[in-house]
Amino acid sequence: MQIEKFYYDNKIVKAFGLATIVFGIVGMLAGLWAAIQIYYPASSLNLPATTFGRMRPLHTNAIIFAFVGNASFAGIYYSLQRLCKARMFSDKLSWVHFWGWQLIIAAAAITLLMGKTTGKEYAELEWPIDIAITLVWVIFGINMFGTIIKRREKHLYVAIWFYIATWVTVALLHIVNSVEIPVSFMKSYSWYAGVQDALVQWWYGHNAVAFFLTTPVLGLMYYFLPKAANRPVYSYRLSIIHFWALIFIYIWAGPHHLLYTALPDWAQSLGVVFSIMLIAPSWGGMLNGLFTLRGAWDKVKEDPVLKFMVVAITCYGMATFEGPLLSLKNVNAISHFSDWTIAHVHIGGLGWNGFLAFAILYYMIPKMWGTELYSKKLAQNHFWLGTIGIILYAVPLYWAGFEQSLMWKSFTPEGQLRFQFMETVTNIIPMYVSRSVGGGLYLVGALMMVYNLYKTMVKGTFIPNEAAEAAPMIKETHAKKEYWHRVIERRPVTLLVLSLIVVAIGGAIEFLPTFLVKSNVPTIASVKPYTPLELQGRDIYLREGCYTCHSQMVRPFRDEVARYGEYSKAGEFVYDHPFQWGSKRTGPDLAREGGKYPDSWHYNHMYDPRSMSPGSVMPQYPWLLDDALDTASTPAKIRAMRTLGVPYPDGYDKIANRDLMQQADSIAASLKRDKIKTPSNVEIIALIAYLQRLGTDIKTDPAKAEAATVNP
Amino acid sequence: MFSLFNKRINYRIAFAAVFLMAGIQPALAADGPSDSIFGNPLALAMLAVMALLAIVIGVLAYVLLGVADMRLQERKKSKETGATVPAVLLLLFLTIAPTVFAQEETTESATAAAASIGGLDATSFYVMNGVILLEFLIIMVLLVNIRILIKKEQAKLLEAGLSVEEVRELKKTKLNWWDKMNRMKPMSQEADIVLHHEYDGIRELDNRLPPWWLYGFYMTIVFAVIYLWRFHVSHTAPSSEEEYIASVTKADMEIREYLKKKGDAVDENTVTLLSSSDDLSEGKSIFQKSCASCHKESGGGDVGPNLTDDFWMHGNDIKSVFKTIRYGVNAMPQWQNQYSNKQIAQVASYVKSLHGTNPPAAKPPQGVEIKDEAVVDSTQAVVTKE
Repeated sequence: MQIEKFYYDNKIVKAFGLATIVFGIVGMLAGLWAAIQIYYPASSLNLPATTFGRMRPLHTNAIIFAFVGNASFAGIYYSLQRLCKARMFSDKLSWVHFWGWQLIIAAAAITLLMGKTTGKEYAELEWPIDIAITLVWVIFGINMFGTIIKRREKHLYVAIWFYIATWVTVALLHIVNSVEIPVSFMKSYSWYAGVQDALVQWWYGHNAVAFFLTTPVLGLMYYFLPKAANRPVYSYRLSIIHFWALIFIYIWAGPHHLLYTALPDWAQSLGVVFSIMLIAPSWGGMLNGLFTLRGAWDKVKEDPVLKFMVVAITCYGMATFEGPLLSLKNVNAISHFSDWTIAHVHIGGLGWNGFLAFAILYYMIPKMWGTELYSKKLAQNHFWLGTIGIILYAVPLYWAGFEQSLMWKSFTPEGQLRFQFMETVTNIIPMYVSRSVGGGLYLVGALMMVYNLYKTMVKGTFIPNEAAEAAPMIKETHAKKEYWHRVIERRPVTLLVLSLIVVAIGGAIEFLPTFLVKSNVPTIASVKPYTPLELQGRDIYLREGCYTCHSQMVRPFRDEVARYGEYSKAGEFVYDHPFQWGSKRTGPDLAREGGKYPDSWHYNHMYDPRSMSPGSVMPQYPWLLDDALDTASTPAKIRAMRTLGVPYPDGYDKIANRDLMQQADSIAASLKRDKIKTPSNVEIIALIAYLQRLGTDIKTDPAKAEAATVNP
Repeated sequence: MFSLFNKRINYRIAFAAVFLMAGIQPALAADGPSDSIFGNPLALAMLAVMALLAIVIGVLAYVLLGVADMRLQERKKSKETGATVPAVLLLLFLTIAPTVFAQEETTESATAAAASIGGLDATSFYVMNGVILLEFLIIMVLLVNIRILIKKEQAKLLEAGLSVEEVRELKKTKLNWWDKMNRMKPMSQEADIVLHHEYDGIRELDNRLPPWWLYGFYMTIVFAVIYLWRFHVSHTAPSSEEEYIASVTKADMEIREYLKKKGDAVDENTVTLLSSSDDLSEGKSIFQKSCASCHKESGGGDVGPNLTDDFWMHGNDIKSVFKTIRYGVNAMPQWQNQYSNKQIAQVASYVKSLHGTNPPAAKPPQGVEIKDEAVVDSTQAVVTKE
């Protein structure tokens, strides 16, 4: 048999690796900045771009898509070539993929800071960027499959199964969740509304965690861990079972982000049970990782790569055990909307994703530069600093979340809420401080890695094309009986199609009834579309990322009804493109904000929140008081909404601005009565209109009705 | 033969525990969601702990039986029979433990509520705690036993004149409790299970699935079926809405009882102007915390109206002011969920005490003029205006 000589492409791996490092640091800095703003609001600098509501999407997008994304691509390009015994299918496609992805990241950073957002978490990027992501993802897919097709290794190793499932599922998630109708360049409305939008969004949001932050990283673990430990993978059959079970079950669990909301109960229950069933498949990955180290634990003491991996895998195990527990309704009642969730995701983000990315960088870079790591000691210090950082980050936030939530729920024996919202915030400020210290340490550790890797690169010489040789794949007939799964492992397309079918089932069963069966979203006659001014105000609410700190979902709990008002009903959100239920209450819920305070309160509060509620940690929004409202966009927005089925009358787009000005004038007049002089065409007027509308469609307040009769 | 029997019985115990928990749940909850202990988070947490500890016991027992069995066979070889006694005792203990556990659980439903602890009746609370304590004890006993057996094993090897390194080598061929728990092959036999392929130098073993993992997986599936059954088929578990109604009803009852006992039933019909300095300073501190942002610390008005002049929008007698604060009017928020009636009376009295203080930069008058001397209520105020 003729042995073939060929070369692995290290240059593309180097490019993705460097991008990982750069965007990792950028993403962590953005996170640290956002974390500091929570207890030191002045650090928003009173600039639109650096305010929390825009920094937080920048942080999440940078970490997920730029840091972990690039790390996964680096690891996949490195391992896929070696597991297929082939160079990447096309160098050209590799580079189109690389530069395409970096351009998307740059565009994302710019547009997010400009406030261009769809308002859906982790899917904030606007429609032109969504299209670019789709194209680049397809190119990545062609390149990956091309490589698999021309492989010299007959069977696909487990890491590649995970890569394939990742590719096909992320494509599905991204396309379905990004269906939106463009209003202009960089502005669109989600195709779905209210409950349906929430279900699709969290199906996406949850599975972005599953298929962007978990499955590709598990694939990397399956390659880099046995390589670094020089041990065989623990169990082949465990790989098979946990792979298929994981991708099948994961996709169902999205609704656990919507427990006790207006989502139909049956969908919530599916979210709960599939989350519980997810424990074992997730742990299968952890066990296969940790057990592979059997007999190599002495190496773990020495080798920083293995050290990082062990903590990463352990964090994965903890996060995937905690996740299902948080999906139980009675635990979720406490944890949801609090900092508990933030702590939970950072065990996954800092521990699992961050540490595994560090591990593969520490592994690949010395290898590709043909040298040893510059300083093992520095890497050990990075390890300890990072680990302490994670603990200092997470523990105070767990505490904060638990304590604040219990304070929210606490009543006096007379039946009054024991704490006002502000008291529950002031109480956990020290925990917020500690969290940012932990995050800071973690960042310092990462900077140590940058220095260490830089020195390593200087020390060695980069090998752009690494020589390798292997026999070509022979097409032999398999007469002898073999394990059924081996057959699938020879057939990448079958594997792809099977993965797609397996992940499509859960989504379909949850979506179809919610969309088709009317009783799932009972209509409420008094719920009317937003007025043009309110619609414009709502877009400002989206632009400033208010949803990153304020929910709009009163859950059916005694304390929430007492604090905010009647609990939210599914029918209230039918015109909400996109929904704005939020996922965190750094500030109070706003679902019933309308009519709670005078217009002038909102005006002063936006200018300086602390003037109206002392101790508030909300940033200032001074620009809203000066910037003119863009009324030119109104007709296009009304037309888009009509296309989506919002019942504005025929031709309303032409006269919408007339109504808009009328309402704006009336708000300006009401402000004037409270000694505030303002023109009526500024953004704050639109935002006040929106806030005063929130939740008033079905607001029935007996005391108010009574008061109305008393006062003519 | 003996070891086979052991293994089987162990699985049986594990399964029995699962079905026990599963079976009891709907049975207990059958009498309606409202008075089920399964609506109580404390009870659920304790049940979860109980179940978890039961699993730990199962696993440890499995390990201990395995280790004991090894020793037993060795002794048999050396014609000693003493070891059967502890092994049999242990088996007895294990089979009894879950039964006790089961009996204790069923008694809970029978006991009537005496005193309540965390929303649970006291008997349930103590029984459940007792079970947890018992489970901890069992775990301790098991751990101590395992430790002793392992120590003996090691001492024997060292006694036999082997060096520490040799013992370590020997360990590779032997299984410790960890390996047994996960059904691992000894390291020395790895060659038997290594698969005949490699990917870039990575080989794969074909170890069996760790049994605790596999049975854990089955248990979560059983949980899922029971969960869906209870919530959507038998309706023995409450929907979100039912849960809400139950919690509010319960809270209302508790509040009513509390207020009856306390005899503090001030409301807008019975409230009177308070004048003691204690009440006013209490009222002042609430005012500063919750009212000053709109009405200014001086009461001179900002976003909200001036409270120090003769002009009132919703009446100026203590009952009207009390009512305005308690229920809110238009842009004025309601405070009944934040402050008790007594506290509202204190704030209302404090507001009344601000009259005529003439603070600087006060807001121009809003509402109708009501001279303070005239005691009029809000309905009369309207008449005055007309």
